[in-house]
Amino acid sequence: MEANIRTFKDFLQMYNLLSHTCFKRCIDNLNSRNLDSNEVKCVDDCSEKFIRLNHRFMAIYVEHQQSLVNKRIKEAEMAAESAKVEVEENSTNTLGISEHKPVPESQVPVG
Amino acid sequence: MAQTEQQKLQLIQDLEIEMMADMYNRLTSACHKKCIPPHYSDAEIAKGEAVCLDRCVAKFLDIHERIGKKLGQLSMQDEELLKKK
Repeated sequence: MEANIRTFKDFLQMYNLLSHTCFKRCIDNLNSRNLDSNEVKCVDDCSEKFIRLNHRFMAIYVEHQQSLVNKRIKEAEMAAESAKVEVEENSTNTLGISEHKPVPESQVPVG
Repeated sequence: MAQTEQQKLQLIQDLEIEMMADMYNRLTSACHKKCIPPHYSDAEIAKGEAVCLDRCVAKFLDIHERIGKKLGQLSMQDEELLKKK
């Protein structure tokens, strides 16, 4: 239901954009009130091309999006791996420090 | 149930009004650009500009309707294709 309305909204927005774009591209003079045959043909071609373009963009986008997502996942995995290693190193370090610390402390009273 | 149906209808109507406003804004900006040259010696709309605006709006609406019909046809075709599958 929500998705349907979203789709409808996208459709209407696309419709407005399509009209606007093809108007800008096909109407270069306003010598008459009616569309002449050239303008009609231009508008028809323009709108069809726009739709094909939309489909093509979507196909290309999906393709690239997929590889982008894969890359991001790989990067996240690498980051998680290195973070894990760092944590492990840190924990061994703190252990090492706590083992070393008593030595100078015990030395202080003696000195 | 009846209320959600009504809400849905309201939502769709609101959307259509919003999109009509968007279309109107696009129309005015496109025709402004096409008909009003950017040198202002007079605040009045000149006769030629008025004629241009009139034709421009007529053509824009013509194109909008043409494309609307085309999109309607295409979506009908799509639906039929989906039904067949």
